[in-house]
Amino acid sequence: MREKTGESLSALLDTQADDLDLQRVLNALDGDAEVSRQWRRYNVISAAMRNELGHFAQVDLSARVRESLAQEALPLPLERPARSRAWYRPAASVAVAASVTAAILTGTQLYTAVGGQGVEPTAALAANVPTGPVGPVAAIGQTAGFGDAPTVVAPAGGADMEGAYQLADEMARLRLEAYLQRHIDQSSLNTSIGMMPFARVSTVEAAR
Amino acid sequence: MVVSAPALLVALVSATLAPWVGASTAARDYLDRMSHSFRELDYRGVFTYQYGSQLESLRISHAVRDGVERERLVYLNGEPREIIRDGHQVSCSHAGNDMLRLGGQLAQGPFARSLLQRDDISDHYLLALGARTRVADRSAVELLVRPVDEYRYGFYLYLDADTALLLKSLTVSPSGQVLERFQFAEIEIGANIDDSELQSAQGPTRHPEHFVIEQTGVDSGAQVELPRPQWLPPGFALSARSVRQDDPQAPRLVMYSDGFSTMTLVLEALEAGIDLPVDGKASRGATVAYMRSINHDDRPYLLTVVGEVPLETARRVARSVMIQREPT
Repeated sequence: MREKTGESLSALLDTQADDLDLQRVLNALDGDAEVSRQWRRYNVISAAMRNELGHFAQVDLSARVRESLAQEALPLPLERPARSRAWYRPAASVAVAASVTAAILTGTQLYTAVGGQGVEPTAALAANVPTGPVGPVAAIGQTAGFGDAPTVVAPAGGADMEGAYQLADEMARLRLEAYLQRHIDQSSLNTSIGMMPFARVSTVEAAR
Repeated sequence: MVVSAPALLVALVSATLAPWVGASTAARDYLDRMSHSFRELDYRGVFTYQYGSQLESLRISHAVRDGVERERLVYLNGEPREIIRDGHQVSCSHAGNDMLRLGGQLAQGPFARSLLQRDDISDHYLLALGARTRVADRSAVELLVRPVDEYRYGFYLYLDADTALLLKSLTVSPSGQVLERFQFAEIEIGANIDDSELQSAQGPTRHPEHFVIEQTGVDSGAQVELPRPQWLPPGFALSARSVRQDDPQAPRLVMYSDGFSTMTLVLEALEAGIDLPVDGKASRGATVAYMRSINHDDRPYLLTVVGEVPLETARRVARSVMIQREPT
């Protein structure tokens, strides 16, 4: 029995496992300390091979795997772990006008959250701010002011355009985070789950 | 004794006639108690928040001192950071929370009265008690909250059997996906909480602004542009709004709640002269945002709907918004 579990364990770590393997391992993890230790050991080895040691070595993935498999007595399919999704994803119609969006999103004063904690562009962002030559977008006359930050002008095309898109996305993301923070401040009072909603804000920051 | 005697009696009597109604009545009673317990009890605990493959852990301490709530939330991973809420009156009414209460009072003030139409929560959600289970080593009651339409999410709530404090919550999409999960790993209810436990100890601390429907600090008689949705899912009522007098350019926020779900509409004035379409969306876990530009009186505005509702709901609300000058 344990041999089968060991096989399933290996399969799991090689991402070759099927549902049966997964169930077998999870069942074994419940009652078998040796399998549990083996699981962690394999995880460390596997992580090291993927050059991820330090990031994942301390994490016991089984709890989360189990959770996402757990039946929960729900008559509902459970969510598969999502791929990391961009917080802000312009709709299709935006793509056409992305350069213009950049002007809009950078051309206005960023919202300052209550408590004096303004949203500042990150250092990485500031370094990537496209400046210089102007094109049709700049002709609109939109420039941004973040205090002493450099003037932002979205350039017209070429490689710089990519930078402008990234900038627009980053600015949109920062703006949404500021909005979300305020939203959570209130929703914690207007739903009956107390301060729990603040956990959502944290992951916004962590998603950076 | 876990279920209160009247609730049990009602449940038993109703059960012989209509099982669903009986269960729903008991469920309704639990919701009412839940809306009180999280504000009125003293407790400390550690809970996790999960969406997709993301996991966050937080420690919470909550105490009531002389009718005033004091609470502290500490993020346990990553950069040290905290949230402190201090001085919030237990008696302070919030529309969203009130909707879960039986016989709760309506918000006061002419603005509130004109907009706040209070439906009962059971008009928009089917409520049912599920199995008895165990969460954070406490006996818990499962409460199924299923929306009657596709405009909002459903919930699986797990309430402490003794106090009705929420121990675990799953947010479920109309298609049945679990979008996010809050869950206490351990909790001490009725804990003796020392003042020092409620003070900021490390890292940046946020003190959330507390605003209600009747905004103070704004000149009476003044008019401001506010986002006014022409469509909202049934049951969503105005529950908070913020207009900052000190900064006319600051975004105006208006929140709607149906008791379980909330949406915040944010209206921000852009620089004059921009006349271009913005149309964007974002989502993570149960939270979505829909952003669009609106022209009003030759001025461009950016409107964003942020909330824990299906994207289609946020989109529809955002598309319906008109800007109106309204007295504050």
